[in-house]
Amino acid sequence: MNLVMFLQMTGRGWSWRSPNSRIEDLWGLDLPLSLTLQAERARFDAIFLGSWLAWEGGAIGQQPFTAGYEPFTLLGALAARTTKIGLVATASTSFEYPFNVARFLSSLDWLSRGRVGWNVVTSTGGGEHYGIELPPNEERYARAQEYLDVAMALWDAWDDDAVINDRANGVWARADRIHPIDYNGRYYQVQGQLFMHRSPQGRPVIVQAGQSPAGMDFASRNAEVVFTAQSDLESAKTFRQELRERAESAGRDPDGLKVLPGLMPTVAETAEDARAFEQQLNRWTPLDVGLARTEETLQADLSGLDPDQPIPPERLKAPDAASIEVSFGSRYRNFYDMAVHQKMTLRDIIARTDRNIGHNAPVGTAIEVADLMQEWYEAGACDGWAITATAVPEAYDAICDLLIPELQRRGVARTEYEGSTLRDHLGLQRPALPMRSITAAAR
Amino acid sequence: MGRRDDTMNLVMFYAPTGRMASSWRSATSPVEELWGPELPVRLAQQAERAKFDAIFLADVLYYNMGGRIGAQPFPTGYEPFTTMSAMAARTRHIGLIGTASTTFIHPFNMARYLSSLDWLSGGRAGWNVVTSQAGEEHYGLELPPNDQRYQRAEEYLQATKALWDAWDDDAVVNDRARATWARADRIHPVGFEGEYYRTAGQLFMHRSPQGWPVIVQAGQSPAGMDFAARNAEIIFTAQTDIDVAQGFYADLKERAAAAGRDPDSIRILPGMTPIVADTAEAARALEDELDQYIDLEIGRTDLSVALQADLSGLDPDEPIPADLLVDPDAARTDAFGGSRYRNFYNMVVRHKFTMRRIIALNDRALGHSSATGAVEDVADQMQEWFEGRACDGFAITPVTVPEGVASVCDRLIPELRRRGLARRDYGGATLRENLNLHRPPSPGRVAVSSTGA
Repeated sequence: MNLVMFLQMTGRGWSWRSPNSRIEDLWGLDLPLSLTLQAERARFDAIFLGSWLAWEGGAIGQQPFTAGYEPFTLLGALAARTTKIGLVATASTSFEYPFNVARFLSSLDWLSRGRVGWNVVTSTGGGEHYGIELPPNEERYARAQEYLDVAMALWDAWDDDAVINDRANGVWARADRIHPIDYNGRYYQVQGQLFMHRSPQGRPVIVQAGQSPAGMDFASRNAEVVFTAQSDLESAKTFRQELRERAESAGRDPDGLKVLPGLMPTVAETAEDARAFEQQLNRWTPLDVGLARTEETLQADLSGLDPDQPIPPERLKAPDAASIEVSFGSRYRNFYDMAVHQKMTLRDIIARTDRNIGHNAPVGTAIEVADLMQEWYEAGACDGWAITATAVPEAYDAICDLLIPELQRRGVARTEYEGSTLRDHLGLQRPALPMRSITAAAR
Repeated sequence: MGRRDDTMNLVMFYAPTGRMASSWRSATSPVEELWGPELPVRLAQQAERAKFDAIFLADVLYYNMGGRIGAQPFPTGYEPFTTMSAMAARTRHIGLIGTASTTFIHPFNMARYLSSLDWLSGGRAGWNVVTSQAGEEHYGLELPPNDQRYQRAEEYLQATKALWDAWDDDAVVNDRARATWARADRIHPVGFEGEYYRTAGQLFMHRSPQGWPVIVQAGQSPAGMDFAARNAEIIFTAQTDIDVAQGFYADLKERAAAAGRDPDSIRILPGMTPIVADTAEAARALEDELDQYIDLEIGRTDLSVALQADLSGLDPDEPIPADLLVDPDAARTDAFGGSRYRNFYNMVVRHKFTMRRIIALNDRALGHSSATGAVEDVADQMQEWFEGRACDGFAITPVTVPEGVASVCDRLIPELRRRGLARRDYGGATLRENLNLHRPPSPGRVAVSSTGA
């Protein structure tokens, strides 16, 4: 299975309060570097950095920003100190020019010798930092498609055989193998080419995570890896099947699209230890702060409720009536299921919402969690997992030292890297160059 | 605190295949290593062993190349932010100064990239603020009018500084027991509404080790000098004559004093390309050897841009007719390289060099000074400039890689060190400390009783 480690340097939610957390080491290089090296030793396909430009809840500064690290610069540093593991950066199509993003990623692909991926997000928040208002969901994706088309055209502007280093004749690269673009879209106008030639992977691996209809449509046309929040095996199967079918109707090989649900496991030597640690995590979550976040996620007023009782269903909108224009709006159904079908108490939902934001969050031994991972994988519900440690270092160590070895014993996780690029690790093709007659045409 | 050093400030200009663009053709050039990680890391480490204050990455998004794209590798093909981050991960002391344009990056992203680099490097980031005179077609933009350039840059800098200062230095308390990472009353989200730029909120990392990156600037026009006098801590300048350089130096330090700044807190570093060998003859032989790589037609078009004149059809072995050129005061300062026009003009009119020679000088030094000679001769010249207050040090660009870098790091710098003009070791942990520049304090806004954990 494909395994990606979602780096959250001090764990999820409030686990930074653990006496073992390395909260004092933010925002230096040592902390992310040691976590990345650990993931590389565990033979993860890649580490992944989010880039969430909004508060995580509570008063400003009450908890550290999960995505405080800036992905492009951090990956540049990590590329210089690792040799195998893939490096995936989140970058928004709403806040940076496509030429810059194409350039950063091409540079990172060179600096890492072909280990870079781009998690394409359109952003539901953060516009105020840039003095802009974000367009609605559908338009964001229309812009994102153009944005991606521009980036692709820039990555493809140099033929793979353009550079010949011909010293004798004074020709570094053959002019007829460089094809400056002239893109005139509705939202973007871009000319020229990057100043470095085509990077080792041709293009970075394209990752995407939207679950709205527009997001799924975008993913089926463009994504090579899809992150998704799924807490139910059957819905996950359906989601993956639908995505693969859509990809096929878009003319793509469905195996060129890897679906990786999020997994936030709390693993320990014994099931009792794992549950005890989860209880500890829950105690670290301040109820009042968590409530505000849960109200936002469930799009409901939850005041005056007994925290130890389930939420009365009439307080909640039906999933079809919920907004997708808010943070994690596309995951509303997962939370709705917890409240209405699983009848979890408000307190448990608060702690889990805060920590797991709708992802699958098993608690147990490595064997139990590996069983679940394997079951989903073999049932066709996923191609692997995007794993986040609920706490660093406790849960992170347990993933690398207990869970991964268990998966390796079962033969479902690699014990050595066979290839050297992220595309190799994921089993993805290096993209071929387009027909030259159409490079300059807008979509 | 803002003290001019007894030793020179020395910055190495990162040119992966050498200052001399055509020298990628030499048998030993590392052109096959472009754009991998080892070349920038190796050069940064080499500069660090020679105790350079910083390595500097230019960023020009325009290349003429005689109309033949690909004839030479792009000299600034390496993207500065990601490359500096890679260098940061494999060095410990050397400063990392990157060029980034106020026209092509939003202030919030700029502040974020630089703050991140400052954290990742442990306080070694510098920012060469440029407004860009080319490259707009990559962004679907038009360049701002020339008379607005510095007004915009000034406002842009205000926005980024507001973002860097939004967190007080004592905001983060890591108070696990009270579930408080940072004190809300020590974080001051900005609400910046300028004429050209708007930003709100704050960065997601707290104030970086240096507070702000070291601010670097390179404008030579009067408006550019005023901007530098108000804002810059390091000034890069293209100077070819010591008397002109002394005038520029005195003028800029006076402007800084007039702007209420300590003149010693602004360091003036002319660019220079040394061609050094054991003897003057050997250095000149090296120069001749390098000149053979020059593509005369690429040189002619590059020089046409620099001289703002059509040079086609001219005999390369004759001087350029002076009547083809406009007076320096009438030259376009907004043209590409316009601030260096006077240097090229003087080569034509004052020195009556042949076109071939000026093309070679341009290829070798891009309008900056170049010094060819025995190590002692070049060190003498640098010493004369430094002690004569023509500069506070130099931005040195090795003419070739690897030989030019080795001759600078292993020959020239040790000679300067023997004379007590180059430092023996790094004196501090951050770029500001190594340059003796003060760390900007976080603005005193807090008048709250709590003193925190």
